[in-house]
Amino acid sequence: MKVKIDKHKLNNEKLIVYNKPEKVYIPLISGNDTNITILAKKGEYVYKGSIIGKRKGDFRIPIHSSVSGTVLDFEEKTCYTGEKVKCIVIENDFKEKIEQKLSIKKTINKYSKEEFLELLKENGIIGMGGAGFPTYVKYEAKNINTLIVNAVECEPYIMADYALAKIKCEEILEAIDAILEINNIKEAIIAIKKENSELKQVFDNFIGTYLKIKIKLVPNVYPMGWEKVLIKEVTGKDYQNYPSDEGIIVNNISTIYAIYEALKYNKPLIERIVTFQGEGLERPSNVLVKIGTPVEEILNELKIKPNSIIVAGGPMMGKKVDELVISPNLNCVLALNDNNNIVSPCVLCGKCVSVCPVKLSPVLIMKSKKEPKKLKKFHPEKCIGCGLCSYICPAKLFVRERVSEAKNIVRGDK
Amino acid sequence: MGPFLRDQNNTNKIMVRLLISLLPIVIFVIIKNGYLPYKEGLISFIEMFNPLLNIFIGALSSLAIESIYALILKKRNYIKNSYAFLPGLFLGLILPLHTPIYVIVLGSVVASISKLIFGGFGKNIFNPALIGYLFIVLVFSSILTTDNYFNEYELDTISKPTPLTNASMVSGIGSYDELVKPYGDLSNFLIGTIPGSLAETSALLCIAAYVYLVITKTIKWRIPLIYVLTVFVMTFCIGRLLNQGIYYPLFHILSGGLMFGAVFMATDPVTSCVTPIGQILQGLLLGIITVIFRFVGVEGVAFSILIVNMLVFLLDKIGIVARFNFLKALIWFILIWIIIIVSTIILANTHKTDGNKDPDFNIISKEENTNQTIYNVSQKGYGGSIKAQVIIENDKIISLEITSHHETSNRYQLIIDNNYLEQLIDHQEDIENLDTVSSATVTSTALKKLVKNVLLDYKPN
Repeated sequence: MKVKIDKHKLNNEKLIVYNKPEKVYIPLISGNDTNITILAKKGEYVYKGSIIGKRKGDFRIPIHSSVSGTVLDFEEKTCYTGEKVKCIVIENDFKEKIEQKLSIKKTINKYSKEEFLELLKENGIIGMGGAGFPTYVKYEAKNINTLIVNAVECEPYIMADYALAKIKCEEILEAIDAILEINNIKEAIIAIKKENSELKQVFDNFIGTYLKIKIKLVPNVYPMGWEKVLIKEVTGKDYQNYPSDEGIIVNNISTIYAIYEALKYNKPLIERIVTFQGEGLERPSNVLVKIGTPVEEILNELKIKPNSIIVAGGPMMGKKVDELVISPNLNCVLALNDNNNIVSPCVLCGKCVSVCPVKLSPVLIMKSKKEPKKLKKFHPEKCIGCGLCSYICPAKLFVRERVSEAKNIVRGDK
Repeated sequence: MGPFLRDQNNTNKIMVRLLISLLPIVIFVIIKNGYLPYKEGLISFIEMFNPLLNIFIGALSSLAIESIYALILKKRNYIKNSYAFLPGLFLGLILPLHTPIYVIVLGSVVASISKLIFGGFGKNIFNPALIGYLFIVLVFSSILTTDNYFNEYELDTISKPTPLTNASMVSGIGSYDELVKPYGDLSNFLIGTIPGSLAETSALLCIAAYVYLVITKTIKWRIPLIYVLTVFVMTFCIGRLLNQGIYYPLFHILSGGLMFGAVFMATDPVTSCVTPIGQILQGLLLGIITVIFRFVGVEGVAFSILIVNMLVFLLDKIGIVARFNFLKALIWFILIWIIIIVSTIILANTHKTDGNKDPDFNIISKEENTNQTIYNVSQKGYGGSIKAQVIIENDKIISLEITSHHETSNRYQLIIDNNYLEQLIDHQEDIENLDTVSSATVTSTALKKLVKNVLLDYKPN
């Protein structure tokens, strides 16, 4: 069962551009991997788009500077995971100088597949909806037949993809068309929630010339934006390990637009649109920001009310943070009132069982003994952390946290 | 810690909705057992509120016990979230109208203690109210007799015991005339204008409460639905096998504590399954056990729920396996369906001959003379066998004499005072239409059967 949660729509449709951070703190994290080779030295001058770090291991994705200026220092800052991450501090000289790059072709669908993969990799394109998985890896899969463009905006409050799609509709369609042609993919389906059907109308104005691109409206439920649920809804298919098992790739709107900029301008992923929302803000807005910008500056600009708490991410899966820097896969920052829900004892109502999208039985996991052998039968490792169990709990218990503790116990045993 | 959005629902709201759903039932109870007898001038104005008193006494006793518990253990916050009044409140609702106050108090105390023994709210295995009920059944069994169930108005108008006691006197199988007609028709069963426990009579209001509680997502909807459906299907099949009409399964689902128990007791969140498959299995099991109990001759809703309470843990284990792989749980469904089919067939077969022969009736001796036949027979009455000598002359009973009995003396006195034995002889041709003696319904019904059975033996057909 999926749950309908109020959207908390953002009324302000104006996109604010915030490109004047005095310093940026580029987090040395890619996906959730902090194993990064640092390529910039203290005191060195870097250009906007210069490679300043590279992920180690299998996915050698580079990290770019989002401003031109001098590398000041390395500092620990909180990033989207809610944990402190080493960041490269760069002082902005506001000159926006770009490193000279090789000239590139202007027609974005004329690349070979190899060139396409190389462009995605070198420009650091990663999934901008959540996990930050390197996008080029997805396209390395063979026999892809469907591209699903995720414009669902899974969690309430988040409107970043919606805002981007509205203003860059033509570019997004162009990019999808190019991706289909380069990768020899049969069709693309743009998934939009029914409550955002205005977005469908915007696409409808341009979609006539793109015969391979379709739009599908999906139900207004959470977690609709989760890959597994979305694929099931759009294609009716279930996959075992990866969507590519069924010949499917899912990219969200922001990622598609980042691919567009990489193909068209060879531009790395150094800025993105982030939704700043919540009752703690006087001027909630979508903001175009540079990666590494400290959110405090933006929150002050949007007039944050005193005693608000800051949440990195959406209201369901986000983490409470004291400070925060923008990373490529952070789509939302919330300023909320500090509502302390009063916790009462569990009544075993079973609601968490009926809402769990991966069919866990959270209440039984919570009540069972913390022994790995016994816990295994409940399969807590399947938890995706969507938070629906905590959301629905009438006793206001922190059900998800208990399940993820069980998950850790089971994983530790393996 | 997140999520930072929470559903508006909370435990308090759940409990408030539960109480709201009980409100129409309580109002109905006061109208049926208070206002109607008062209007007829049978009780005083104050006595009109007796049903309410039962419920309040129960609720207060439970609240008191848990408050003492919280005080002793210095758990100040415990009482805030424990909804301590519920066990006694529900117990008050499922007891007969004329239950003595001290019995309600004791029952409620036992109910709450049964909850506290397991560690209090949210930890108990058994439905507390039903433990209280079980205690009363065991210790004060005489309280749960026919007369206590009747309000003063029903005592005057209905000449039979409660519908299920009446049904058990014919071992569960009977014709429409035997089972339903003494109380009006099935609409009386639906609306609830039949004798029975305080809140259990109105099936309609229980269904209304169910709909409200399901729409507001307050209770586990599968359990009551499957439970009642199982009872319906089983009694329908038994009825078909014994050539009874559709009234028969309807009689079963509309009488006794089935609807009330299914909606309010079987769905008690703490003591019921959390997994959907577990809930379905729970409903099926409840149905089977209730039907079997009813054919054995006791109202089995309370006991079925308590028995299944013990199995909830196991059923949820099946439920978890089924969530990941339904086929693995299929064996349990097959097993339960086999039990349903087998028990249906057995129940139907063991009751097949009942149309002609009454197991409670025995012919001790039969002496056939030229113009007289003298029977010495026994028939099960209220307190044991009633033995009698019946003399038939010219195909008619001319004498009926009780030789021994175990009925209470005041009951027996009522039979004598009403010249009931003479009445039986006078009405031997249309014995069905003879009224029973109020306050001695079981005894008088037994005597009616005795006469009927003797005549059946003397003149089959």
